[in-house]
Amino acid sequence: MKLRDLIKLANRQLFNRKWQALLPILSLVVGSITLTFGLGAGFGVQDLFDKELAAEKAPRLIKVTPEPSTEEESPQEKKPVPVYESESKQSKREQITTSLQEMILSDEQLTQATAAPFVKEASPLYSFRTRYVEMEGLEQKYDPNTKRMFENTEFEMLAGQKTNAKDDVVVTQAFSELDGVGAPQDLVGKTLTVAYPDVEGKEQSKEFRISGVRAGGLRSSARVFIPYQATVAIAKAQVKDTSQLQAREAVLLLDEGLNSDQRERTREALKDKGFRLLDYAQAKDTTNRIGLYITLALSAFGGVVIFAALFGVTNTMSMSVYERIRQIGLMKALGMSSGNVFLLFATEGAFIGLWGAVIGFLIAYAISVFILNPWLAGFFADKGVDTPFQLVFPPEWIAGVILGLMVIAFLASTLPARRAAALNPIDALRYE
Amino acid sequence: MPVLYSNRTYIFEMTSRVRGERGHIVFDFPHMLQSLPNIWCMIETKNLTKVYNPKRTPYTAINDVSLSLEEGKSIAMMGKSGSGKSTLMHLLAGLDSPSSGEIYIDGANLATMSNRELNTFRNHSVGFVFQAFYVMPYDTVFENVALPLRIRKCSEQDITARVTSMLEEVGLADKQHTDTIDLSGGQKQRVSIARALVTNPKVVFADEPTGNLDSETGEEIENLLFRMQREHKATVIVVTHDADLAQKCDEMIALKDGELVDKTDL
Repeated sequence: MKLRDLIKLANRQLFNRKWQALLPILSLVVGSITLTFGLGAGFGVQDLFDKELAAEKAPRLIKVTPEPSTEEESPQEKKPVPVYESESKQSKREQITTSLQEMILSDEQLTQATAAPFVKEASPLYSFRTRYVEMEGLEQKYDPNTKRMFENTEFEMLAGQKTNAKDDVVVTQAFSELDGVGAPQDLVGKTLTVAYPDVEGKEQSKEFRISGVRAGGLRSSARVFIPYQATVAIAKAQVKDTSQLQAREAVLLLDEGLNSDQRERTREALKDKGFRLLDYAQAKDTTNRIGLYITLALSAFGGVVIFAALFGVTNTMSMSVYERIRQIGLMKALGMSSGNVFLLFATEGAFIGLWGAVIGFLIAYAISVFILNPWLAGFFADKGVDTPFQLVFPPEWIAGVILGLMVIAFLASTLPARRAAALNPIDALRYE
Repeated sequence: MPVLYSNRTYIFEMTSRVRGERGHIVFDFPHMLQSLPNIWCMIETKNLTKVYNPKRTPYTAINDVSLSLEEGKSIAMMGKSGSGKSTLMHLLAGLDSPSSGEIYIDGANLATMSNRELNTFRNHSVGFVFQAFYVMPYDTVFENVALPLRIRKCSEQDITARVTSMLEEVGLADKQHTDTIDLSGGQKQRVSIARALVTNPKVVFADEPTGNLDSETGEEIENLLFRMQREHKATVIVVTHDADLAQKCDEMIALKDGELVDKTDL
């Protein structure tokens, strides 16, 4: 029999027994809905991570922090009142002070970090404080987060651009929503004055030009990105002399065009020297992995439902074979090979999988697109988040799910199909 | 070299190289000719025997049956139930394999065929008409008749042409898109006659073709069957209890306890 005819016949057989097949199809529909929602939510989380990372890309930067030498106490342990043992030993409080001291990057550590392979330069993040910012044309003073901005960071911009000029700042989307500001591009070119206290507590200020507006990302709080050198200048104004500048972290700039092995060498060298690392590439890896775990965990629920549904498929196909014994006998008498009989019934089972998967997906997709996603968008908008959590359905995964369900329904039907293939035509024709 | 020639039997004398003794090889041509299939016969069996359960409780359903049936004839196969006529039909149709003996259909030896060859043989050379029709109830008349052609992997054009003309011959041209479940018993049997003949088989086996029909419809079906047999020049073997139906056939064979008997012995 031609494969096309075989598939047509299998589909007709299923259609003729649609009421019997309805039950396993329905249970597969439930499985497919669960699986689709699981995948949609999981990929939604991954998508969110991607958007957040896309808002600020810094592939060449690694942030390093010195690892504190004292062992951290596990929070689960019961903690009795610490006993003061002797004069010679440090008290608990003194230990904490010491460890805070140790968390400050020393010049020596900075040199060590710079000496790691492929590190071009190290920029210590000196602590600086700002009081408020004032924007040209607005009465109000504001107190946003002030952040350092590096030359090698890429922002996802809504308007204008990130220049590397020393007096250009970038603000987040939240600023464009202030009263008196129209669209994000209206902010570009405006003057932004940053006020900060100097070492004696007197107010100082510096004028910047807004060169662009950054997309919100996940955390769409109000932030001003000030060029690194400008933040160093502010930090210097807040200490008596430069020897008092303190940094707990440093950002290392790596050489251009490193491959992953070279990167790993840098990372290992820094870890050996007792640094904790945070870098973009690793963060991306981690979030991708977390996203995948979430996807798999949510899909596992669908998997369980589908597993249960497969017994229904096997049962229905067994009934189908049982009801068609004489028809099988006839087809074999007319010269149909056992292989074709097997394929006919297994394909019928695969159709159960196909219908279950497709109907389930369409239901879940319709609910997501028409009800869930609009509701989520509204919910997050109310909370002031620019990038709402949405269910995402990558077409290749959905195609994979449908194909996968067909394959496992086919496999679930192999047992009854084998029984059909093994029937002796004479016995089958005689069967009452 | 022939050393003796008598009664068309050649005897070759030769020396066995191993034992240094003289021996004879006999070529018995008349006997050898007998063991070859008769080319004028459509169906021929030689010492056909079928034993069920040969190891535990052997039951001989067919015992040493040798027969030859001519091409293009209708043959009634009669016998009481348990006489072995169904078994013989299954053997002749290549649905079952004999315990011993040979079956030649149009010169092809069924006993030596593989399963695959038997499938092809049944599809190309055999048609079936059953008492209980065995049509696929939820398929259309057209698809039921097309089934053996689909199994044969015929082209769509070929199938349409053959099925349409066959349905015209059996008088169901206007029903081709009807599901067979909606047909009467006589119409269902017409469908199965069309299905049996659509492949232009050499032999058609009709197992009690009128058994499930009232006498009037039964007669219509009998007439249709014999008309189709003549028009398509097929050999038709009708397995039946019905003496009237058997009378209408060109020849008759009778079976009793697995052996061929004279019809008067039934």
